[in-house]
Amino acid sequence: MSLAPWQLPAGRKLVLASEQDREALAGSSIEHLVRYLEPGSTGIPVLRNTFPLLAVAFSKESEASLKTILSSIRQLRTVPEVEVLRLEAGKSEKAFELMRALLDGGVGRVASFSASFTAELALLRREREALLENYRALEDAFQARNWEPLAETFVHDPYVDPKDEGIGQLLASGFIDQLLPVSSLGVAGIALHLSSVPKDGGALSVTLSYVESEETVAEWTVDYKNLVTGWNYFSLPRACGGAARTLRLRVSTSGTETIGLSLGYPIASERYTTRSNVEHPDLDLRPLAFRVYTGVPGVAPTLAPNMIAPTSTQGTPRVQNYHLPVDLLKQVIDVSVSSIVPDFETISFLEHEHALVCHPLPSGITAGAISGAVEAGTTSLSANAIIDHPEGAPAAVSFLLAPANTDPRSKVEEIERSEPAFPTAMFSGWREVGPESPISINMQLDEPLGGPMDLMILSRAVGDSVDFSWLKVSGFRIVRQSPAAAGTGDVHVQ
Amino acid sequence: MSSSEAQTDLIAVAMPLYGHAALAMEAIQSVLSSKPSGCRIAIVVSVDGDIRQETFEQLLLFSAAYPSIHVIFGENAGPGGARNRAIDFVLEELPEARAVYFLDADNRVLPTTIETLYRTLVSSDCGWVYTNIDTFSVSWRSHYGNRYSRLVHCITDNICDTGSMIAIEVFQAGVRFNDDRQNGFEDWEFWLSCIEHGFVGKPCHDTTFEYRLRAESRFKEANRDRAASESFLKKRHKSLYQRPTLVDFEHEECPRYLFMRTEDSSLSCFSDPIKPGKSIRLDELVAEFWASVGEPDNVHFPPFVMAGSGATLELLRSSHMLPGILTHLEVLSEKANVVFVHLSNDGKQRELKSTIYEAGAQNVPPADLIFLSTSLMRDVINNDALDWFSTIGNDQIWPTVAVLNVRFPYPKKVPRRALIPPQQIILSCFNAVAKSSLRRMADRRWTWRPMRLMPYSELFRAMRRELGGSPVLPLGHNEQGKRTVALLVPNASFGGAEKVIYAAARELKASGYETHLFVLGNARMDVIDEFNTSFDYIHFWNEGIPAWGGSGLFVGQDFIAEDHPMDWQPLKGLLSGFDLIINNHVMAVHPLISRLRSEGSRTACYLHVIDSTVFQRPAGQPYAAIAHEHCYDAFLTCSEQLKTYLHSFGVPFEKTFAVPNGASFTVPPKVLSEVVSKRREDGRDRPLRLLYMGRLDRQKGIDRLTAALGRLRARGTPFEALAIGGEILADSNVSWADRLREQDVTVQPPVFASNDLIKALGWADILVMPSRWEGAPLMITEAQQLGCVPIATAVGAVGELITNWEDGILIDVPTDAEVVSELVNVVEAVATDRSRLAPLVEGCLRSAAQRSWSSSFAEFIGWCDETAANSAAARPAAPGRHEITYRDVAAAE
Repeated sequence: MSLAPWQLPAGRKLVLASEQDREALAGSSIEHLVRYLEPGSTGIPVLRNTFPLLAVAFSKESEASLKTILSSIRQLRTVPEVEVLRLEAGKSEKAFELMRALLDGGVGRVASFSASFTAELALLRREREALLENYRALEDAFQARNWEPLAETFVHDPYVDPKDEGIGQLLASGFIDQLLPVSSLGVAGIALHLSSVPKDGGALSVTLSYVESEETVAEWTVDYKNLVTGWNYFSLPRACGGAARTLRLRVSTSGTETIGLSLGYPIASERYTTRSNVEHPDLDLRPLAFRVYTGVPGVAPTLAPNMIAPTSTQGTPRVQNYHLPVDLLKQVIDVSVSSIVPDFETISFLEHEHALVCHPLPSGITAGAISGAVEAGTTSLSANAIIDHPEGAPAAVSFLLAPANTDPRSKVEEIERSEPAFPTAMFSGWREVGPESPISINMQLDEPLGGPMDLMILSRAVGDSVDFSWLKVSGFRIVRQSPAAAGTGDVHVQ
Repeated sequence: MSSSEAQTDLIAVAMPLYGHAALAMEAIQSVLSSKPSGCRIAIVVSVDGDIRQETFEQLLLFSAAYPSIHVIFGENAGPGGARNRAIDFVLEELPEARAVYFLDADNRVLPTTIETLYRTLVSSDCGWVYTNIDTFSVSWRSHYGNRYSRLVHCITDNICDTGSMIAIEVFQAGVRFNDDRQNGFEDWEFWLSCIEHGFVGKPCHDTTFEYRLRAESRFKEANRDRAASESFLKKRHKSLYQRPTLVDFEHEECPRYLFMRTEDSSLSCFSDPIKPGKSIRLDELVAEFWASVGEPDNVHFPPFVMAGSGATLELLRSSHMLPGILTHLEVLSEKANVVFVHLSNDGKQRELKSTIYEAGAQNVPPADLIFLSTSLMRDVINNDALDWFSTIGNDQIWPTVAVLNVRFPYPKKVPRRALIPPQQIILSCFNAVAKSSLRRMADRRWTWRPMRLMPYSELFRAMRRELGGSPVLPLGHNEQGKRTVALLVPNASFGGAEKVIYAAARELKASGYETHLFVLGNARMDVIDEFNTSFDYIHFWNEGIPAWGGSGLFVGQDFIAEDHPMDWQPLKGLLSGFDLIINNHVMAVHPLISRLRSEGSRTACYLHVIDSTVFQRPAGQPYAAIAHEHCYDAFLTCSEQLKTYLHSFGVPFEKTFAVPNGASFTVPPKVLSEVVSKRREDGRDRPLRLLYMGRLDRQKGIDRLTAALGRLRARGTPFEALAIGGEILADSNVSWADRLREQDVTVQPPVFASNDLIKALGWADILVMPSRWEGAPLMITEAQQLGCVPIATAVGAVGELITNWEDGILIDVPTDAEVVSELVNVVEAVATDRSRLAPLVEGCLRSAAQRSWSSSFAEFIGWCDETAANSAAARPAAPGRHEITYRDVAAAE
């Protein structure tokens, strides 16, 4: 938004002159800084982008009329007293130069300097306010709770509807959002209820963020083995302070196993029911089962079986951990490289499973590409793969990333030609998959991607047969790091 | 909007600045910290004569550092004026701006505020997007509802802070802030202007802005003088606060009635029963019921529930009485648990009659429609009283019941009788709600910000308070854009004064008015075929309206004063919001007229006669009306004489319309020609036929008539006589009917149908009217139109209807004895010399041919057209962004 140093934006007027002197100022080096005033005009003028620092006149008459108008401007009171400088027409070039240097350059220089410290000052003021408010809130909280460190401010118990189908699969391929029905002020932790937890084979991701400012408060990525059936307490490193805001929980899972996240009793207040990127009948008018605690962070509620510390918190770069949206998966296109023309569709999207099919051919590489699927800042990419037929022949599967706007087929051709044995920066390497058990394809990037990339899912035969080799890839998960938001100055600065 | 267009979108942040020299920096800096994707931001600081030069220096530096910051210095014009300067700057200098966000110089935005609000604005059809309010410094917050309602915004409080994102179309449509210094709520006033221009708001809870609140604020200051500020708003936006506008808002946003239709179990909600309702599914209804319990400021559930067949509702619509009936049902639902509506076909009258049955009543008439309040529904469900309630379908009913019997002439095609009783659907709906799984959690509020708005279920009461009346007539603006006129009568029988008002209604309707008859002080109306289609709506209100009252005295005459012990609420609720009100002898309404007028109604008072007490003191309606002269824009009289009389009491000539009376019925041309030719051809050889029509009472001179007829019989004058009229026993201790019969006069009960009147007047040669006082009796004009010669005492304005010995005969003598003698002489004269009658017959026909209600009312209706507003045509524009946007204009260029 700011300009190069020491240059005034166009249209800013710093010098006043009478319309009578327009000719005298025409072509001068300060002409662009001059606002001409109509002599004899009555009333207080409205000054648009005009900051009178100086007034010039070239005749007695123009000086007089200028002084009359200046006395009107003085009534505005905001504008300081302005001196009228009497100049001689045709003999003032040096004076003009001096004025230009002082006004254009000088004001520009000071403004540039001032801009940096006002930004800092605003931030400091905000921090001071938050500090004072939090200090008082802390005092009040302790006194109100009789020095109890933690209080349960909201609880919504789990409820099992006989018709529930379970949302484990939904969490594996999508996410669930839940708004918290309490103010963020003083929140020190939340508890989620799990009806079943696999011993291993995945992780639960929980993100807590402010709705109004979209800032992340904390993120937890917890291996299933650290979770228990029943209530699990997710602790914040410090209680939410500053202004009272709305908190949003986002929950999803990764891995091959699914988890039993409990839903609560149905409620009529739709805004506070769970939202998901995938429709699911269990979610209709249902919030999650959850509890909210305020008080001292790092203190677990009584009888809490566990206390889970955040993986990433305030002050660190914001990490987004999300599933590829279904709408994006639907856009997959076939970019296979093979001499065989099959009489069936080798690349397709499975609507109900939110999965991609990538059936290998006896020769060449079957490939599906999703344009721009991987955003800048992505650090890792994972998905689950399986041959979705009991008699299906095994196949090899891999991910390939290519810069957006390049020809994806040419990149697949490169892989086919070079047959890389090991993973590279943009290629996950081949992994064999059969019908018995699913595998997880992981691609860890050395550094966050600098720009958006196309994602390609590749498959090829590993034996003589590709009969029933219905390779199904699902649960695409992206971990993305977004740069810190500069200058927000709120309590949870990213 | 395509994404490529969005890239170039400019949002202007308009910031009025006065007195916040030390804080403006934070406001500006917070905007500079916003990094919206897909749009750019320009800041326009409008310095409102701020007295601190620190402001100048600071803004000079900001403006010099950032090309996107623009500064206007102007003289102090108040926050509204300063914002207007910024708006003008944006429209003139930043034409690519798509929206304006107002940020006060002491407030701040979050980095995401502007982008989130703009995204919401672009994805909606609304004129502005607003947030909840969270304050800092003094911490306070409030929830401003999950949806926007114009009704809530108009009648409860300002629900949108100026810190909102406003579409540029709002300003292109000419909406600006009002900079009047009396206006303490310039922000509220601005939104009301937006509503008037057809824009609506939309809440956005996904972001907020930081509102700085200190211990003392301008808002607090304005609230101290809230009554004056609100009065300012209402005067400036009169059209928004009129009953039809508010009912339209209610109908669209928070309908008053839920209707359960028995034929197909469908559900619909409405306020105005004439307009299409909004359908709702049962599962949605169940969710809304429970949501309205826990979050009453976010979810609306109609405050009244009714059940019946669609055919019943249709039948009631055809009765012209449905809106009025709904107001009765609202009141009855406060007196009894449940209201049963029972309909009857009656070709002769319209009538509403209610009866209250105590708990455990049996033999309650069957219900065509059931009506109850939602508060009872809540109580029944919360108290598990469904068994108690379900007895409404049994022979013995345990809830108290009010039965409203409604009689009216059904249309020719009578709808099929309902096969399913309304109890069935109402009980099934109650059960569905009571057994819902949502019940368990219904008491808990999930929205964490404190409730700021009034519960939706209370809005109908707020509307009553706003209009100062209860119940409120559930009628919005008519779709045809017609002016509306309310014609008020104290009863609706066959009286002349009523017939005149019916004729007025007929003429007004023909001139394009929507006509409403209000029968105030009575709950029945005789059906008169001639005027059956004169009214678009007929409303009754009987309870608590005195026909007469002497709480005040004006030149020795009674009038009802404002402090009269009566319930003004129903009258105000019913009469509010009409473009024109014509009061025809409803004494109790006079004290309300001034308020109705100040709300925008034009008012007229129709007067017909000066009565006389037994002691001959002039009395009657005109005096109470004159006592309220300044409240009426116009007076109507039936005669020039009464006009002059009113003038003598200070009613200017120019505001009085003398409307000559016409006949109350029309004679088919064929019938008229038969009657006239018969009159011309025969009759010379038979006795003279005398007709008396009217009440057999002292005012009408029945004693004079009896004496005159006795004398004529004694003289042997050849005549036959027929007297048609009812006897009022209280008037005398003798039976005038018996006396007349003794003199060989045929006496018949009153007749009202046009055919009967034509038959009687067609039979008679002369109509005798020896009245002691009259206005301008219709009977004279009716007799004249059939060539029946009126012989009448020259009282009231009779002389304006009869030119003596041209189209009737006037008896103009003072005493009773002289009247009797003169009457005998005149009748004898025409009875014995029938040639004297023939020119009078022709004179009558001539006079009648020159007379018509259309010409009588033409001048008055011309005045109405000129004076009365047309609120339906001037209603606020329908919501939605204006269709022509600046892009469309640019594309066209």
